[in-house]
Amino acid sequence: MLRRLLLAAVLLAAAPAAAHEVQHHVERGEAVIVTLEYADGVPLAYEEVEVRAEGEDQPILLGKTDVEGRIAFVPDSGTSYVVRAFAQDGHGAQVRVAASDGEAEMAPVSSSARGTGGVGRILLGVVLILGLFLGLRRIVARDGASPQRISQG
Amino acid sequence: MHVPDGFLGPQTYVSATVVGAGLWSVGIARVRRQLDAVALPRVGVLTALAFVLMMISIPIPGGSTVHFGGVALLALTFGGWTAFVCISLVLLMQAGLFGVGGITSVPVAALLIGFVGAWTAVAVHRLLRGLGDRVALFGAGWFSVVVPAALMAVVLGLQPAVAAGSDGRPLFFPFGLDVTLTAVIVPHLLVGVGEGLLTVMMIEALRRIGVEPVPAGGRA
Repeated sequence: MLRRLLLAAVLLAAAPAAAHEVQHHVERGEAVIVTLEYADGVPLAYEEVEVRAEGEDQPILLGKTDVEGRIAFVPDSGTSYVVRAFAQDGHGAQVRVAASDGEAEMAPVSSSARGTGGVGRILLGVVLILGLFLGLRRIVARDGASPQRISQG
Repeated sequence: MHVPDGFLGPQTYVSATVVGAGLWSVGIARVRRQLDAVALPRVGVLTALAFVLMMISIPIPGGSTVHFGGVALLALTFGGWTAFVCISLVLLMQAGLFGVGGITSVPVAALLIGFVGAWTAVAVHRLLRGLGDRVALFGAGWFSVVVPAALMAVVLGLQPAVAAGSDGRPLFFPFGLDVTLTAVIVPHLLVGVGEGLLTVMMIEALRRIGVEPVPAGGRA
């Protein structure tokens, strides 16, 4: 009798204990992985990240990038997301992950992390700037120089 | 200091746009009135140099990157207003054409890097002139980087207080002043050294080809 009572007591105690247990499931599926790195290829590692469904205030994920500068999340089909990564010194990125037929497509919006690189981009910028100022020079030269204008050198 | 979109709240960038619009109108009017056909290509070359300097990231310990700006060089050669307009153009091009920095952060960056940086360089150069030409040039370059960086740290660090959700969570840049002042300013103390040296070397090189720094009375 005493044994039965003890067994019953143990079973009754086990039920509430199970209520505190965290169940887990391991499954493999498709996720979006956003990788963030500086222009020289150094990962934006261990920095603050948030993921929101576009137009929503409540983030679906708050966390940090991993050692490789990656953040991964599982998107709902047909939903676009905005991923923001913040480094303490003001670097970071905002990336829009567009949903298209259930498959996510990367569409970067802006990023200081990809801020440089590419000799072609630098050359293009230089050409545009020089072209702009040479165009202005032609206009000014055509209109005639004012006596109060500065002429360096 | 190329801050991406989504880091600054509308309270910040709308205010900066309003202030910037007034300063840009003044600056463009002065540049149009005072630069002639000889000066314009030279301004273009230094603006292109500033663009290149801002596009070249220099890695620093900790994984982040910094870059030079050429603001003091422009300000001391062609005046604060010209430097402000040219740096604003560079920042707008970088954000609009190349995605370097957010388009919404351009007004803030232009005010801090372009306007504050340029006039800080001019003011420091005048203040330190008595200590020697190279000291004044170096100081102008150093402060033209550090002062805007400090102000950018304040702007970023105030975002959690300026724009938070109903649950108190920051809607934009999440770190406060206790973090940003150190994280932003300290790297720029070193960047300022490079900017100072660059300013000295470039101004001296320009003098050798007959381009003198702006006189004490100031220019555009």
